[in-house]
Amino acid sequence: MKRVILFLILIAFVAHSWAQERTVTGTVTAEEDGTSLPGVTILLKGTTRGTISDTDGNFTIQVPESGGTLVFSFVGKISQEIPLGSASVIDVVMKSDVFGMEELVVVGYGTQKKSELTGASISVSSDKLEGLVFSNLDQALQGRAAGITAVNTSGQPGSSVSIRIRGQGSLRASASEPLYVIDGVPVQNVSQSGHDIGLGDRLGNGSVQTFSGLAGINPADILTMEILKDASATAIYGSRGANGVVLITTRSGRTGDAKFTYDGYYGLQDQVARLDIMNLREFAEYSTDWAAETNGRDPRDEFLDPSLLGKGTNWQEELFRTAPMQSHQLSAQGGTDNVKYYVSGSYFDQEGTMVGTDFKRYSARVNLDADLKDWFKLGSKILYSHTEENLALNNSTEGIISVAMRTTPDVPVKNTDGSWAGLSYEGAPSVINPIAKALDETNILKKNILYANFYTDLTLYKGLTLRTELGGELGNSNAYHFTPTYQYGSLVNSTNTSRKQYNQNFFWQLKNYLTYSREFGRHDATAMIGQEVSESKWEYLRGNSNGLSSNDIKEPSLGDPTSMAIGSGHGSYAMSSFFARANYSFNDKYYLTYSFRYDGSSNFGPENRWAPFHAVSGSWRLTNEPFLEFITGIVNDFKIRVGWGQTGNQNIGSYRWGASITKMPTNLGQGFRQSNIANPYITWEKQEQINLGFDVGLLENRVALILDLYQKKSTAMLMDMQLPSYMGTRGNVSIRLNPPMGNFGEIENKGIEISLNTRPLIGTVTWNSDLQFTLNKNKLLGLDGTPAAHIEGYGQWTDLVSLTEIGQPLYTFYGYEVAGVYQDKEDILSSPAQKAFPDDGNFSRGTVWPGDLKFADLSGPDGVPDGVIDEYDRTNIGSPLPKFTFGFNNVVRYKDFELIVFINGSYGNKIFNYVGRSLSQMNTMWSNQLISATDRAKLEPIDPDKVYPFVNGYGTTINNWYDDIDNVRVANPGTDIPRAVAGDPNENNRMSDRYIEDGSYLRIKSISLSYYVPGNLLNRIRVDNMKVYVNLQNMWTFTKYTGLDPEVGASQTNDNVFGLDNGRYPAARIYTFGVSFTF
Amino acid sequence: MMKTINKIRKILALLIILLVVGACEEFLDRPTEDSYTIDSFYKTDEQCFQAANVLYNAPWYDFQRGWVRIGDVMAGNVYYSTDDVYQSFVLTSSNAQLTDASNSLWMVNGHCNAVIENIDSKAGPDVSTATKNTVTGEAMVWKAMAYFYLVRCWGAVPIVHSNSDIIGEGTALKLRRNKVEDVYEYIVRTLERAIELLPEQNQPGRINKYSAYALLSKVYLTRSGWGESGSRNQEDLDKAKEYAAKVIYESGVTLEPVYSDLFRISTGNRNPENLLSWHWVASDQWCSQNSLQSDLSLNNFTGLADSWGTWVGPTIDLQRAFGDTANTKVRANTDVRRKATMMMYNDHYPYFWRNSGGFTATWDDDNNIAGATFGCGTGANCVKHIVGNTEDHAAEYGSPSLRMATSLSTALIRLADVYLIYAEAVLGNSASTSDPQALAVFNAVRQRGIPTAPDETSLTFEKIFKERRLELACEGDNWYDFVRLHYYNPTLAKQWLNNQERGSFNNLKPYYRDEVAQGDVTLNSFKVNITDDSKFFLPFPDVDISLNPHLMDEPVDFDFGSIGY
Repeated sequence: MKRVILFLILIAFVAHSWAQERTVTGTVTAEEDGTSLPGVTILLKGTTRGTISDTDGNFTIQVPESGGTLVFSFVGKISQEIPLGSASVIDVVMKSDVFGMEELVVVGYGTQKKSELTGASISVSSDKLEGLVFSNLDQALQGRAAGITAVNTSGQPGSSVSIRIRGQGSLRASASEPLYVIDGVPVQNVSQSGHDIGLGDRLGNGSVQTFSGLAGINPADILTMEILKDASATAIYGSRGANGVVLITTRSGRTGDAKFTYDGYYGLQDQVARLDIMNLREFAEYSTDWAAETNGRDPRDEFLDPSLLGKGTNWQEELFRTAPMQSHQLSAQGGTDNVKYYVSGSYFDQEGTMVGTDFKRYSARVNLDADLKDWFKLGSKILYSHTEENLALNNSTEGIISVAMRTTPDVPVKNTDGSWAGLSYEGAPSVINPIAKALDETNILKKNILYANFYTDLTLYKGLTLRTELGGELGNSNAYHFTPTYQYGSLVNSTNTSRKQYNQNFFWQLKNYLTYSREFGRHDATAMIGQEVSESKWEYLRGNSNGLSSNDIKEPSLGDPTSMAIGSGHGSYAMSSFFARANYSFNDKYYLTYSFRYDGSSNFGPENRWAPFHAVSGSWRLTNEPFLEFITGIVNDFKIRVGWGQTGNQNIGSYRWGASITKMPTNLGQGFRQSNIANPYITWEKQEQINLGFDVGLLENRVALILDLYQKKSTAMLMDMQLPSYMGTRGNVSIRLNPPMGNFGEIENKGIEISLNTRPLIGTVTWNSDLQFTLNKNKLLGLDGTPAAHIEGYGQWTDLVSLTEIGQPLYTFYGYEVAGVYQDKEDILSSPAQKAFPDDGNFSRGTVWPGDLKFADLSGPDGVPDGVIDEYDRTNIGSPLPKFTFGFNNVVRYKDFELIVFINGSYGNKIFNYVGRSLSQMNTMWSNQLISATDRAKLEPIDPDKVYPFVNGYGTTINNWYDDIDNVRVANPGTDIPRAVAGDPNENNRMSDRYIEDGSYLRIKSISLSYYVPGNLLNRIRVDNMKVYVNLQNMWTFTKYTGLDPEVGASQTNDNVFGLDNGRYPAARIYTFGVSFTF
Repeated sequence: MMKTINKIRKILALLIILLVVGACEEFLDRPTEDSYTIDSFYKTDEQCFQAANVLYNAPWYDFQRGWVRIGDVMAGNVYYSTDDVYQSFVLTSSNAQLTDASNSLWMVNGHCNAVIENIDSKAGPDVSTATKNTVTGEAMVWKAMAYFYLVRCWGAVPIVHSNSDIIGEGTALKLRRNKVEDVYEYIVRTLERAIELLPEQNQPGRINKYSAYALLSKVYLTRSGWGESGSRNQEDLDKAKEYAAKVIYESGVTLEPVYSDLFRISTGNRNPENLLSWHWVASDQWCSQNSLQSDLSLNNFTGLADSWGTWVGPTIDLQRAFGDTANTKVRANTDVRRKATMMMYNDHYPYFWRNSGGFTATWDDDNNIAGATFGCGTGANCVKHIVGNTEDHAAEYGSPSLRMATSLSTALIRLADVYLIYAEAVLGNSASTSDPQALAVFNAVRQRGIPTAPDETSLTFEKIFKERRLELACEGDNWYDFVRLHYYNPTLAKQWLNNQERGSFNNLKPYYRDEVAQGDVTLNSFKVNITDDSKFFLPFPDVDISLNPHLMDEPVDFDFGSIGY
């Protein structure tokens, strides 16, 4: 062995000694518009010798006298090999490569030529994202790749996006995000809750939060994002591959002089949508009518003559603002043949369109690659970033948007003396002034992240390389909360509260893998085998106190000593894995891949710690078959891919296999309680997926279609055992005996993905269009337990809003169906009985009454309608999951101008308008309402001349027509909105399809116009190239949804809830102006 | 060259070492690191007591609201509003407080079962038998208390003797309800077992043998009417009397002379009269605290912007029972319990807002020391469960109150309650009694409240029933007196409830401000008309029925052979 290596190394050295040389020059141009192509890599085949074309597309390269072959390659173009012969001038025209067949694509633990891929994956390259405004890289994925559904959790700056690759594959939202791997290092903490970072439930109780774990990454550093979708592609990530994998590659240096690039933009954001809520005059009229209609309430004197009133406080205008944003990045890229570098620094600052929110990021990156020896490469990728954000509670009944909508217009924001005003009303706690809360309360999150990855590539033998990577992440996130002392109107808080938590996490990973490739004639084989080990550790320390002597300095140490408390904790997690992959291809026609991974995770107990994952896939490139040559005039490329694979999910946190003990203070001293019921047998969630894909290129690749069909089934789904309350496992999370977590469910996702790229125009005006279409059907196939087993989701607190039964899509909304409005007593008596039907038949306005909602009698204890409206009549009232989503991108170029129009949308998803529900309750005169509440059922006497009072058959004295069930009917029979009534005896506001709305939308996501300043102008100022652009983002949204923004994702206040709009922070419309130049 | 090869060798060797490390099982064995597990806890006497400490507060937290709504609003003692579903008896199974109450009681049972099982199977060799017995006994009393609430609220409920067994057997979603008589039998057996285990004396505030006797006497008294018509089961009445007598004559505990001291942190939290209490603490851990002050005290009363009880208060009916009414400005303070239960116009409390000279219920929003808002249509607000502002809390407890959090213990069974249980058990099925011991305990309770009250010489059911109301008003208990009565005399239970005045007054505020005459204060009467006996059982929460439709089936017998006692 030793000798063989020695021999090979000798050969390598010998190969380096060239004899005579000569110069070859030429120009590279693009086929479609004839423009020169700068940056094309020109390599002498079989050597490391190469160059790059300059800004005018010219190149010069030294070649041996004997000639050789030059390989021209460029992203998005088909590579060309030109035999030199004796020519000294070579002009090359490069054709567009819509499939990117020649591109090297990053796959798990290696790269492959795109043409060799057998699995389903899709690239989003940086050029697709130019000009767009987004703070986090996950926001960039929306509508860009078929098979991916991306929904912004919030419009708050720096907020996260729920990304689902091929549907919701696991029950828990926090465990359904894809695995993000940046330059080989998996990102930790993509999904964290407010409790995890130390803000408690200040941002809601759910596990999905507005702040993003990816916010520290500067999107401008990204070169490509490769999204691995099917199991044959992700199985190499084994236990973490079930939700798909997003491989992110950052920019690297390239040979040549240093090029400095500045990218910057400035933008203004505003909120265009408004809810149609009452102004002061309308509210005064409503309030007075309400008092009359509900009896027993005195109308408010100041409202008796609405014409004397102004419009009052418009809380929406007070809440939203026009907010600036800016981004600046400076990078340097360059290197020698042996050492290449990419260095960048960036600053990003976005204020929120809602008062009191903002996001800032500072980042610096250094990427180095060095060829130390022929057989030894070394490199590093290092990122440091710092983010700071001001956060606010939203998408919650107590959230600032919800409260602002409900606050009545008669309350000013501030009193005439400049102090905050407030609202106090009967029967409820005083309402906190939402603007004051947004501005006075502190919720700050600061993060520092250091990512680093070091690699070495050793060529041990011809075709045999060993890659070793040592990578890691060192992160800390500090959370600060402060509630000041305040007086908002009559609401007084005399004790302030300060809280601060330091979290630190450290992750390291070491991986080694050997790759061997060899060609034998028409056979081409690659084998890879490797091993990986990783460990993650975290710890936190919290201090909090109350009663600081002022609001000026917010340190917990300044509080009342008797109120001081600390919290602390630490933990760790480890994985060990072995993996292998074999690729084989024959004659560029048949490709086969097999991959295997064996994972051990500390998340599981000794019983079930290790699991294997296999995948096989193959593809057949029909167009390379001689017998199909006759169609190549029309069909340039036709490839069929088939794959099957297994992946897993282990994202449950540590020690769910045992029962831990939690501290709980008591008045008798320290208390300790069992926190959960153990399940030592808990194991991996398993997923199997099959995929059938077609890649078709037509008409000289002016039309390129990628179509994928898939079915994936998650079994042994990790979830809490669903138990009734009598098992002690329901209720307050702070104290309940948590149910055992285990492998209890089965989910299926089936779907179609279409990616259609066309070039309708080429020539002077070019037009490229790119359509991404995703259709997914999600179904809960099974749950352990009885056939009645189901999964519940709650709105605020205990409102059951979703319930998924076996056979339905996850997160299905659940409630009653409205069948109309009771017109009169006759109608009530002839309809199925409501719960509020009086026991003794003595109707009053505190029982069911004309004007109340009639609900549909769908079922009963025996499964058939039973004439009674009760819990059995609740049903599936819509799914929040879209039938399909799409993105449509168009790039039109004319001379130096480029216009990009990007449209995206979602079809068939339902939204539960929970904020609309609270704005149409009509059960108090102290909460603002939608204007549509004026169309509520109004009552009138049937016989105006009937004489009162009289005593009815039950001994009750009836004083007026409106208390007389026999003499009341609805005056506006067409209405579908119930009567106004205090206390809501008929529960008109119960969960019903009254609040379910169509959430389909089509959004002009971005329109951007760029101008590439011509070179002759630039040369004078020594600038290589320059672009100026304007971009309009979220310009128009077409939807029937009546809320602020139809893009409603996972709930921040409750798990298992999706598409519930409880005052979600809407996305802003953004106008930006930007410039980018290289010198 | 050799160097390079050596390097490669070293790298390969390192690789092999790493492979071995990676495969090492120890690297992956990571039980929780920053907290105990059930296997590492329960190793000392102290740890075992700490495991029981939790049963005195947090699992009960979500029951607090339901405890007032069911125990006092339904009983006609506390007014929320005439639209309130508890006040007007139109409660449905989706009600949030009801769901919380149910969850909470079952959580108590689950945690009690966990403590009982873990002490039995996980306690270390250094834990003394006495500690194991005491802690198990405490858990059994709390379990019995939870079931006592459950059976009186919902009637037939499933008996969950071991959560882990049921989950292990996979029968959790198939359980049936057990018959009411079996639930009572289960409570009785559990308490009898607890009595065997518990010591005569325990640390102050903890459950001892007499806490269990007190509860057992109340269980027997309640059970005595189940399934009976017109009269009660004499054997159960005798047992109730026997166990009440043990508490009265053997425990050595006597009545606290100052009634209001029972309901304050400094004098009430460890008061021996309070035989069984929740022991809350204001801490940064949610659920450990008493939050009743937020629901029941006037808006702005606490200074923490965390109270919303301005429109909540004792009913006109309860005022009348104390011989007072809000439509006069002069208080009739014959019964000291009135002021300790409700705050009415001109009442002064030196121990609220003590840093500012005490709080007077001025009914003037702009002119009271707290800046509180008055507004309850009955003219009264609650006093029990109220601590005051943060400085009152600091003075009583040593540290200030927190948002929605006080450290005031909540008494669930007091000696006075046991006195009245004794009197009721002695009276039994007779129309009246002159039993001297029954008279003695009854008079002791009554005369603490009304020092001028003459000795009663004969007791009737109605007298005892009314005295229980005055003594225990706003302590989450009074509704269960109606439940107990309803078991064997539903007509009387309904009649008494239907007669209660649950309405409010108009014009109270202008009257107190001298803007209108007393005659302008009018009664906005509201009475319920309960005809249906199902109103005496609360609806089962939605969630459970949909997960386990068998809950709607007829209740079944419980297999007592399975429990070992």
